[in-house]
Amino acid sequence: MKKLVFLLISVVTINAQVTGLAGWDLFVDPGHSQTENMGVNGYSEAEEVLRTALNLREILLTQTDIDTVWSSRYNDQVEVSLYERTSDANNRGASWYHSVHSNAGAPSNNNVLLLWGMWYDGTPDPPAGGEGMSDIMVELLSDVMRLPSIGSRGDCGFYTWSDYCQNNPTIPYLYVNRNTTMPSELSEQGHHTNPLQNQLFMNEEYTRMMAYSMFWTILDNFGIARPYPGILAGIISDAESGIRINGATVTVNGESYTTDTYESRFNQFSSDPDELHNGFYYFEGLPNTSHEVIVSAEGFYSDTIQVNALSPDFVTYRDFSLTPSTPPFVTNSYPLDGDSTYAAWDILWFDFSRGMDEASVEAAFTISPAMEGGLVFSTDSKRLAFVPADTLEFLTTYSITIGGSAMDTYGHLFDGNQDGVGGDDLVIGFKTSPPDLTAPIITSTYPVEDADRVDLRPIITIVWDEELDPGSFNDDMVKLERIYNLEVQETILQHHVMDNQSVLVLYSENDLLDAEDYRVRIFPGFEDLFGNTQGSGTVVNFTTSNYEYVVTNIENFENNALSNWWEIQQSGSNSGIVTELCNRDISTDITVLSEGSNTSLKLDYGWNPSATSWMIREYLAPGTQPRTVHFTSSRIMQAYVFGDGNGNKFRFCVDDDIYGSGAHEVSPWYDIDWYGWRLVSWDMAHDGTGTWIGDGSLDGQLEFDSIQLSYTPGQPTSGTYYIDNLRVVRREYLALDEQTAGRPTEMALLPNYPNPFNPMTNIPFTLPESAEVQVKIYNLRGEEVAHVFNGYLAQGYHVTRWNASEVSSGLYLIEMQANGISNTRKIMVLK
Amino acid sequence: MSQRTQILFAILILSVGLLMGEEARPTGDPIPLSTPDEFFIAPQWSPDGSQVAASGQSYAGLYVLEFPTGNFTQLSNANSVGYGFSWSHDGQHIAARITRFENMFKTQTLVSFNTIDESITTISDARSRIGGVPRWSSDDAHIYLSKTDSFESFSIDQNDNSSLSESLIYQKSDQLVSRNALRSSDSPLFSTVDRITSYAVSPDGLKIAYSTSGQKLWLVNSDGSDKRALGSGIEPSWSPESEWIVYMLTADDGHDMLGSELYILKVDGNTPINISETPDLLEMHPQWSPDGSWIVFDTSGDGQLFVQQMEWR
Repeated sequence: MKKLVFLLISVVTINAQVTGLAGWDLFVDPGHSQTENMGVNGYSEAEEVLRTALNLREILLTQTDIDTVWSSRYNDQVEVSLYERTSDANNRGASWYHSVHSNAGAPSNNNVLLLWGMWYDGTPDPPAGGEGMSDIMVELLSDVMRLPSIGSRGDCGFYTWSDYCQNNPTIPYLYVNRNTTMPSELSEQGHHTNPLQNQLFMNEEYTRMMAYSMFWTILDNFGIARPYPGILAGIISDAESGIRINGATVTVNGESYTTDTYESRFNQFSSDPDELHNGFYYFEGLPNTSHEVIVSAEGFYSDTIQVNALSPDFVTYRDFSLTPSTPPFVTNSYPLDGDSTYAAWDILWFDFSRGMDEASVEAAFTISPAMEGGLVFSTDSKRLAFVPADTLEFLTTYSITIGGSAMDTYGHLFDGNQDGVGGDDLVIGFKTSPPDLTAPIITSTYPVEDADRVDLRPIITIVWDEELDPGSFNDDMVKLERIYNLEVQETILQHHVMDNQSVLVLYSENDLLDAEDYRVRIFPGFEDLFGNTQGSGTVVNFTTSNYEYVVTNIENFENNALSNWWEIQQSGSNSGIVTELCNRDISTDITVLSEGSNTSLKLDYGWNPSATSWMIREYLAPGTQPRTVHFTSSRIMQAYVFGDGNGNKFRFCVDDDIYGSGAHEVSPWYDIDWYGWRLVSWDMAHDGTGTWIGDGSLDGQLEFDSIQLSYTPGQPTSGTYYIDNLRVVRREYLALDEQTAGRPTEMALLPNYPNPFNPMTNIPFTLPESAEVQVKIYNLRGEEVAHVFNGYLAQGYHVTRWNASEVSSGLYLIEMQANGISNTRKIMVLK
Repeated sequence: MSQRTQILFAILILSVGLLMGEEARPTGDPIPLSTPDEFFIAPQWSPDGSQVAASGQSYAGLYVLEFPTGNFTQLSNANSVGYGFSWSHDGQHIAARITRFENMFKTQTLVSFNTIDESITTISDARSRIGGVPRWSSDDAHIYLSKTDSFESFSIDQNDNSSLSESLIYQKSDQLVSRNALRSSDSPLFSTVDRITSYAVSPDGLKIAYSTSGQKLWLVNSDGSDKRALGSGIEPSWSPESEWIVYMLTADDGHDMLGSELYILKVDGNTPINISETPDLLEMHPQWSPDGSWIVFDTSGDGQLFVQQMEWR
């Protein structure tokens, strides 16, 4: 098919030699190399701009008398640095330099931009010329791509967020404009991070069409008349869904063009045959006569139009919206046929393959046994919901029928059995579940029972097996207490509903004492949505750590921090993502309240499970304040991560050896299988690194690069993480905790707690004055079994700890000695 | 060659001989050769090491700076004249291309600047393109083009119509070729599919350091034998005793130059030594001085020249 197109091209070019470019030459520079700057659907900027550049070169060499056209590269394999590009052009003494690029940004962004060399005061960088070329090209490229333009801009006037031009007022901003010895400009031909655009770039003839806009720009700039191109192009899409149609055939003048298909093109970028589409067709070199254009595609009614005249000097566009010829059917429903666990109080719904004629569907809808209820259409009449007037009967078998007389908006009869022929019924049988008579139960807590080394300002998570009635509980029903004196700590309680489960998050408002026992008491009385009440309380005991963190903040996500971070889709390192599900934003709802946070980073992700690799690289933009925080691998990197329980992956990425060769190193992956906040810590000196593009060694000075996410096959493919208080820390150990309240007047060995115990117990004592202190443990035979503490302590209250894991159950004696005085106390290990 | 130049060359040859077999290391911090408010890039030492020629912004203008004072003379203010210029062996002339743009077409002329009296001699007629950068024949009687698609030489004496009769190595159509003067024919030095992006013949003429696309750095004997990889780098420049090179290694994101560092390397296989560990500067275009004592380079983004003193032991 495409051979025919190029045959037509050759016929035209033989007869269309354009004169006026003799004595002129062009160096065209397809930006980047190999597959750099990966597009959102797997086609890179580097590949796309190379084809545009080579098409431009071919058009100029075959259709004009230009002296020559060079390219900075001619294939996808060679790697060419920025310095090599401009040096090559300068060595050759080229007349003009044009750098071809596409842009990156949010998935919705897609536009055209031209950048020419400009000084800080607006003066065009000599030798001038790039401005005039850009002014023409931005219009033509915008018209050819049918995209909005953000203008032909002098580079120093565009990159106003950088102070480079202000500091170097007679130098243009862009390297290619700054270091070429000839007039130059750089084009951004749409966004490779826009899904529709990235899929269009995959079409070879589309890149040729873009090259034509550059070819015409050159001719216009020289005042040379454009030759007749005979180009007819357009997009073929499904009139119903708007999705562009793969494999549609366009016939003109007996020649045909078939739009890209999974088999012909898209299998190189996706393993999902339905993921990628561009619907683009293209003819070049058609004679300047009237043409009958016939479009056909399987599953659609064909269309025929007459094009009376093609544009004499531009692309003639004709788009087609084909009407589906297939009958409508149900693509999904709740419940499914055969479902035996349908919750009797839920709403039933059906998704149709296309918008339905509502009246005919209502007439064809029945439920048995009969139940009063309302039918509600949504999503352009593609979703039907049945809202029962009352809860369905428990443990009862129902059936719903949508009759074959239902019709879509085109009048096609409903295809209940999906055999491709309309007019038959869909019957869904299901059984309702028993009533919920079970009280809610706690399925997990964090920290877990008897956890040790819990952060001094803990965030406690309590996960229930179902959603709680928020009116059934209050802040007093979850308390954080110090075990020693049952002192209630100040806390904040938040309630989240995630995956139909309630998640309670309890924030400690102050630092707890170090190496101290605390407990979370969860009182009875929590109710589910059906009034079932939890009848007994729960206690979770834990011990705090014996160290505190000395924090160096990297990014606390406050104060318009979003501008520090790229849109997810901007990174060329992404793979296997569903771009429309991926987003980054600032959240004010879920933040680390215990540290006074007002905002956090919200990351929505969506994975394509059919992909072979998955990566989101949420990139910290160069030049931002967090990039100025430099550190070494002796530190611990931390961030609070609010998990969605999906079991997908998270990790840190840093730039290492930033004053030397520079590379990227990553932490190991962390499986985010929890709900609520956790403090994720990467002890860079001891935890090792993960595998990416570095050498696995954290060298020299480091700075933060990116947050990275990945998919775990089999886990949910979409979800949301919240990230807060990204930082590096070092641990500062606290041997014993010193109480400030009350000054003891005598030396005393206080009762240990807990007692009996297994294996840890706390041993409190007081000192009326500073002293050398020894605390030892003896068995009842008088043999020393542990030397718990030996050191100099100030006046006050002190607590030391003993781990009895090495001894057997039984009675033991604590002996405390200070200033020549000895105290003893019996304790019991109970295993 | 003037008497002064002859004396300086004699001193150079003697001092270079003393460097053989020694290890080079930077000593002290780089010393500015120009001030922050001046803008110079792409420096090249004069053959006797007493001067440095450099270009200005966007390769506009051609300047000669005295070393070590930094006092400078402007030879030209023409656009793009400062790209690819070349000192004559006697240090009295600099060959360069002058480019003029008019109605989007350009004309290029090969010229020679006299660095003493600052006069200009036109070497070629004005043409649409001088496709290559100028280099001097060993007797300074001719200029030929390297980095070109076809060999071309020009006589300095306009009354002399003789062609260059010297065998030499130059870059032709992305490859390094050896030109046989007797047969006026070129043959590739070695077979490669890679595009040559920079090269430098060692002062003793026995070796060539060169780079290919992607900043891959190589070493080959000047007869094309014994090619071997040296790592990553571009724009090599030899030390005078032909044992060490200095080169640069850049990093970019396709739009901006993100970093550039300078390295020295003893080409018999030692590990490269970074001599420019400064995070904020883009050090580029290093050139070893004729006596081996200095390396001159520019900081490309802000256009300042520095010299780094080298210690040999």
